[in-house]
Amino acid sequence: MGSELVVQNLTVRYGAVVAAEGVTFTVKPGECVVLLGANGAGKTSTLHGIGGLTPSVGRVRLGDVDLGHLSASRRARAGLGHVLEGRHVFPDMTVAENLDVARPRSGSKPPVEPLELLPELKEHLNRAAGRLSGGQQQMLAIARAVAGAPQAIMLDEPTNGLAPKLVARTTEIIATLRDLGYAVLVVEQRLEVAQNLAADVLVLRHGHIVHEVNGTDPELPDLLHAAYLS
Amino acid sequence: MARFQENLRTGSYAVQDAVNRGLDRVLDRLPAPLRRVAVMPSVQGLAMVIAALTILVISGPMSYPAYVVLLICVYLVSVYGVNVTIGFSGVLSLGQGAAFAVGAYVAGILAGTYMWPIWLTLPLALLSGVAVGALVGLPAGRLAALGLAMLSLGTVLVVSDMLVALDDLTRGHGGISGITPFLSFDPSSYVLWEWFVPLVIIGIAFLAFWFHARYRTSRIGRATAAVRDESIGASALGIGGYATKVAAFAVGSGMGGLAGALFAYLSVYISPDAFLPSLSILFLVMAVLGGLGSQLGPLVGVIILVIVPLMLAPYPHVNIIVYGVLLVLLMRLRPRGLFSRTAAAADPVRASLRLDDTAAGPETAASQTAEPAVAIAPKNVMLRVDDVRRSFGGVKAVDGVTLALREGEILGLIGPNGSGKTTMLNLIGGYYRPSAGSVALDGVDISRARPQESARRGIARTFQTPKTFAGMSIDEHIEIAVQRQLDASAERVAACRTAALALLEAGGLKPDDLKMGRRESRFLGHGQLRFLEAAMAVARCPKVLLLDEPAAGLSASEIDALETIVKEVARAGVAVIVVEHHLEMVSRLVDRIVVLDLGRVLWEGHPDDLHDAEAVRAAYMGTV
Amino acid sequence: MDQFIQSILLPGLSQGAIYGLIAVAFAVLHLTTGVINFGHGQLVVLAPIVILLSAAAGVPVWLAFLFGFAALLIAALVTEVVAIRPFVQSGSAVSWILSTFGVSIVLTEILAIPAGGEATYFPFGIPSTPFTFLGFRVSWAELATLPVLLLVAAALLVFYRRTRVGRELRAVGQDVRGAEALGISRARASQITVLISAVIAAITGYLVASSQILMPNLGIFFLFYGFVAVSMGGMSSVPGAVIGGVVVGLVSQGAAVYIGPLYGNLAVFVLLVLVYVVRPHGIFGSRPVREV
Repeated sequence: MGSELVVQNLTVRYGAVVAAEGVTFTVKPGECVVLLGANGAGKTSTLHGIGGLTPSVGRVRLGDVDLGHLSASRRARAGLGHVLEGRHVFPDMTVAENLDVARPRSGSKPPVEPLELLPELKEHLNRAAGRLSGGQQQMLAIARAVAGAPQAIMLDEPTNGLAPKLVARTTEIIATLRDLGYAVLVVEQRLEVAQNLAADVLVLRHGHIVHEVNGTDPELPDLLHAAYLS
Repeated sequence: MARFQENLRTGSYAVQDAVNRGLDRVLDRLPAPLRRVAVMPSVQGLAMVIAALTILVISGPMSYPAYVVLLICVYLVSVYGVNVTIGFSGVLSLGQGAAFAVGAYVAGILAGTYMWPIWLTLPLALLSGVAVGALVGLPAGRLAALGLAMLSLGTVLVVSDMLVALDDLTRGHGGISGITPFLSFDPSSYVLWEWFVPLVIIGIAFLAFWFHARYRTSRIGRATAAVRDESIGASALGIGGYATKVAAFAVGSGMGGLAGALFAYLSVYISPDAFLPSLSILFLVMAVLGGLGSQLGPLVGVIILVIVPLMLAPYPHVNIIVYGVLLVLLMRLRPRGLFSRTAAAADPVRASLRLDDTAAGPETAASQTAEPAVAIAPKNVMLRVDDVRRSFGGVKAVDGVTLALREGEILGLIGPNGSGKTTMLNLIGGYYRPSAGSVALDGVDISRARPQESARRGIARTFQTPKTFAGMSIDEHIEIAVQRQLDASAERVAACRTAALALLEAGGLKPDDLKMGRRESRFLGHGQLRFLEAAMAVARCPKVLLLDEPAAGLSASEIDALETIVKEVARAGVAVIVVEHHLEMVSRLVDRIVVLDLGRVLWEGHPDDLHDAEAVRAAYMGTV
Repeated sequence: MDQFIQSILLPGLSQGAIYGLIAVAFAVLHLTTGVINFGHGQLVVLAPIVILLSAAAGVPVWLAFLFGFAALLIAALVTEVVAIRPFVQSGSAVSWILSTFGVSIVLTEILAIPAGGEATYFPFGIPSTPFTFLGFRVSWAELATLPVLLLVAAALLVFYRRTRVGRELRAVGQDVRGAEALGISRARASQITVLISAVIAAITGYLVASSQILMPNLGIFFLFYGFVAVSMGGMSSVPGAVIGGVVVGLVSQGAAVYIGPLYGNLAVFVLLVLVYVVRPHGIFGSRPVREV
């Protein structure tokens, strides 16, 4: 169902500052990759580069489609789902409208309806999205990305500011997405998410990938500790 | 197409940088006293005056070239006024033409109809311009750019109407003639000498040029530019912004009014047709073309846009089309105009900090470190935060946080993203109001204070993205900070200033490089801006210093330097809160740690105990 | 009372509907792009003037109308590309204010060259000959404006609430990054919105030309009045724009009658100041939350 997301030698610059350099990895359908790193290590910059929100050099390919020269909205239409950091729901539109606007114009449907995936949103369909709690907004943001019937989904710090119970629920949803066949790329600060997903972890430091291990690897906490403190 | 525009833009700035460098090289060749003199506005103004007088002497004061020169001078006064309003303060006014018209008619009516003396009509015209500006500026001061623009546009329409409507005063479309200079109320005291009005015009143009430069380097002028560049950063220094904007409106309009009066004397006859909305547009484009906020920009803008239209005079509408096209092109390709140098002269950093005598530095530092006994004695609680709460929409950002901070104490505030750390700083600093609870600084409740009020009471802070002033030089930043220094003992002030200098050095800002000190801060790198911002905050000698992720993006050695300096600052008695993710740095630096999660205090204690705390590990797990 | 209705209420409502149409166009553009097109006033008079010029040059009337509409669309699209799209939701108002202002200046002068800058009469409009109705002197041109405004506003409300495109345009206005991440193109949204405002401008222009003499400075006048109306109603609100327009019409007409013909602008100016002092974000607007 999903397509693979291939990133080769991605470099993202803001003026003279190199935020990410030479980042290379592949996310296969049904797989989950987590980018871990301290603030400023380049995780979000990498995602923004892949998503087209920031100019970048290097190759980004989704399935057969080369995303390199496409604008952010074209990349989204090509199948790259992106759940932005900070949710970015449309505050003065209802939950139902938020979901409706996310559906592809071509009419294609995702394998599982977003409301089936996140039934806790059903009772809020007519509420303005700006009035939802932080956790509910996060759920909505994920539901919206799924509604777009993407081939791959990227999530930027989805557990930011969430209570532990909601962190668990979010992790569960991400696992479901992976099992449904999407290629899932997650940027996180919390190690536990990577551990619970048993995902492949890429540790970023100063814009470079310095470690590639599995989430369940017992060495990971120490590697992370060392990478954070530089 | 976009690439072409981008190249055009960078290309034009590259050319201008090359020209600036060339000029700098020429200036450097001059001996020092000559160089200092060449950049003084009074000297430059004098050069302008000599050039104008030469042309008048050669072709005669009543000739056509003389008229062009005098018109340039009149417009200069108005456009320097526009530069004060828009260039210095960033307030977009589309209505300089209104002040110009009012000034012209005040002079016209008083001199033409009632034969008042020129030494009275000119000041009154100036004051009428000030009144127009203040009237619009008072409600407009609190508004965003759009509201101000529209309000100013409205004044143009209203003034145009009033010129015709109040025709018993203004003679309506018939206009007023015979606007000649009188020396006293005696009608026979009119001046016949043909050089009189030209000399007055040239003299006032010189004054406008000089005043414009002095305004910019004055205390209010620098505050105005700071608010323009970064109003949040300005409020963190205690600068409110409202007063600066109203003043900018008033001063700029005053100059417009004065220019209008000069125009009336130059033209001898005025009617409403001379004051169409297109005049406002003309002034605007002249200022924007030359470069808003620069000293020489208006001069260049006026000269180009007086000469070029004269060449296009046979085609009446093409003029204005050119202005419109210029505006659009400028906004797309070169929004900063031809002269983008917006920084003004200021005392070099060491002089501002009064640390010229470097021998004084180490001594004061030594006297601080030689007093360990002071650290042991209990100090006052400087900041008390009591059960503070704040929500945004449905999200509870801070949900009941209480803490107390003593003089000289360093507190580390940590927690995962979204735990409320930055919101806490914003609540303390006055950017958000708590929905419940209170914040007290040195016994005074500041819960409802606005940021500039909290800043004036003793709070200084840095931000996640440095809020420095792109169009001002390093020297200016330090001068502004030092001018807003808070009350403290002489020793403490000396210690703070030494620390500020150390911050500049640590950031690679080279306090001894005078040339670097004069450059606009927009050319500095991110890390350098962080240190500049921190130096400003510390130089004020605050009671409480808030640092928001100061280590982000810094190298290991820069972090070390930062730690050392923060410790010095705390030793001098400043209470410090550091919000950080870099746990190892925090553990080394702070006396006490508070961990936030989901807007609540999760744990509080000594840094050494942090890794043992069960609760912290459970919530924070992995976020090292 | 009759005097009041005849000299203030009827003309005030009729003119107010025109201001309302301008305000609605502002609201529509602002809702999606955050920009106010300072050239909109010129767009309104552009079509009628082009129609007049074409007809004067001998072109058959129906073709002249086509030319007028085409010229309007072209001007609108050029404005969009040059002066609006680069600044969509950009936060720096000075740039787009000066850009769109620049375009408006160019349009004004281009129109002034052939039209000579004099007042002109539009003979192809809705009949403006007065007749008596219920004791009052009215004309079809005057009566038409308010119903047209209400129809346009209703159509827009349905469009924005019920159609997919309308929802996309609202989404871009509320969070342009979030919208892009969902595949909604910022450029396309800005284009569609400008086209909608151009259609409104065409309708407005026709009504204006029918009910009054076309003068060269109408553009700036409509800009200001329309702006006061939309500020009063809330910058992105269509219903607010309707109410604002009517209020501005009544106030300016009232001032013109009770004080003097040239005092309309002054009254509207005072109204703007009041709005800013009392309720800067308008009737239906919401106070923005500041990000620090």
